Amino acid sequence: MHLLSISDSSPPMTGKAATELDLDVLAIEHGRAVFRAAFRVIGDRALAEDIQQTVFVRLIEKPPRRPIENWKSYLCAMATRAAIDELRRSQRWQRLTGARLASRVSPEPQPAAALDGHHRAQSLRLALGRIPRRQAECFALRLFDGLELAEIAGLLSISPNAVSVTLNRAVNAIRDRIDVIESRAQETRS
Amino acid sequence: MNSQTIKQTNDDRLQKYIDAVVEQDPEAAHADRAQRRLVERLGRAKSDAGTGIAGRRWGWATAAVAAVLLPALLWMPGPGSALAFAEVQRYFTDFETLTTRMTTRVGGKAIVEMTIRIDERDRVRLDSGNGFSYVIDPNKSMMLQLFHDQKQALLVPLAERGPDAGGDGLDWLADIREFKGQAELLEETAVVQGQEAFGFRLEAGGLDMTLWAAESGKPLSLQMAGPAGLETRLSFEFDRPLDQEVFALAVPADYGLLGSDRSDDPLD
Repeated sequence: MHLLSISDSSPPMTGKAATELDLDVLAIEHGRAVFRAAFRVIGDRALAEDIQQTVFVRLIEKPPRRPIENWKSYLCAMATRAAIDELRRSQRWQRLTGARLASRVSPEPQPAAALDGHHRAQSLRLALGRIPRRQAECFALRLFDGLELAEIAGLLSISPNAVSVTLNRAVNAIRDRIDVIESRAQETRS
Repeated sequence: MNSQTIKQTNDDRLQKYIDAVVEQDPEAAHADRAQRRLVERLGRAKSDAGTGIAGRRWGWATAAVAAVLLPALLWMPGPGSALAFAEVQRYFTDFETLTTRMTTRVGGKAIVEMTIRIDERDRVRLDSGNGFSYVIDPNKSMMLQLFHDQKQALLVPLAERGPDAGGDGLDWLADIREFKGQAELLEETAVVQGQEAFGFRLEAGGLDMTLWAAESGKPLSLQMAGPAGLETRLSFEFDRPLDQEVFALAVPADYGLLGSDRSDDPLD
């Protein structure tokens, strides 16, 4: 490992640099943040580890062609996107195969327990996996990871205004789903 | 980076859900363990890149994505067949439509023939010859059963089927998707649907399976051997345009609608 410090305004890596030097530094500096970003979306440590590794391995295979202004945000956005894709795949699979398989993979939160913190997190992830991918990305990058709108716009190659609109739609869609979950919980309690 | 509050909506209730996610952040020990594994993984990846593994037929880049789906496969011993199978498996979750023809034989005699169609909205249509059809719409949580001989229809909520109901003809799909063991790449190739096909042998769901796939990784057919000479063959066609009507939950005009009481089920 080369413990050289690189700034977030460092020039883009070439494939060679990614494999020999900078990747190690990036992993040391941002590996934990990438793991955390993946975990916040997927809620599973093992899957978050896989996503973290995939993000860095992909840098070896396909280094970014443009200069990266903020590596931490860039890598976390990659992790967030991969986690959302995995979330959508797993939820699609659960819907496809019905309750039998879903009960073995990752059960939907039960309404009666929806107000518990763990189930709140699960409910939010469930909702996140069921809204359009771009909305989910904007939501997670802004509200889980705290990125600024302009930064998200740069990462997603869309305008800040488009981020704002997409984020509002995401918030509304997720709030609607949360309302359904809470009303079911209310019915169960009464 | 820290989480943000929802300034746009001033929604305290949703904020509690966001806080719940952020408060669940993994402990430092877990992050440290992930970090150690990341360093080990990068060491292997760099070594592989240096030895030209990236140029293998099935593509390391795609396998890296598949690693998210099937992480266990990446660390399996063997000459890379597990990675290739992960690529094959990916087709079963990323399709827009999947049309499957399934034939079950005992002693060489066909006893069940079905066509299963699945669309991008996860709706399923299962037709068993001229006997019956099921339309399953998970988005509406409803299943329509059509009994063609009797000209009867039954519309039931999916929840009534119970967690172990099965019978939707998709167990094989679940078994393949969930498979995390080692798929053995067969040495011999075959011609399936007019294409050179590569075979993978695996054991899943208590059955011996052989899955044949094109060089691109696209699955072509599946053979499953069960007990007492039972054999099931499936052929796959991905992303074939399907008429939306086949997934409709509407009862055909000339069919009678049975009640949802199970005792009315003509198959009982």
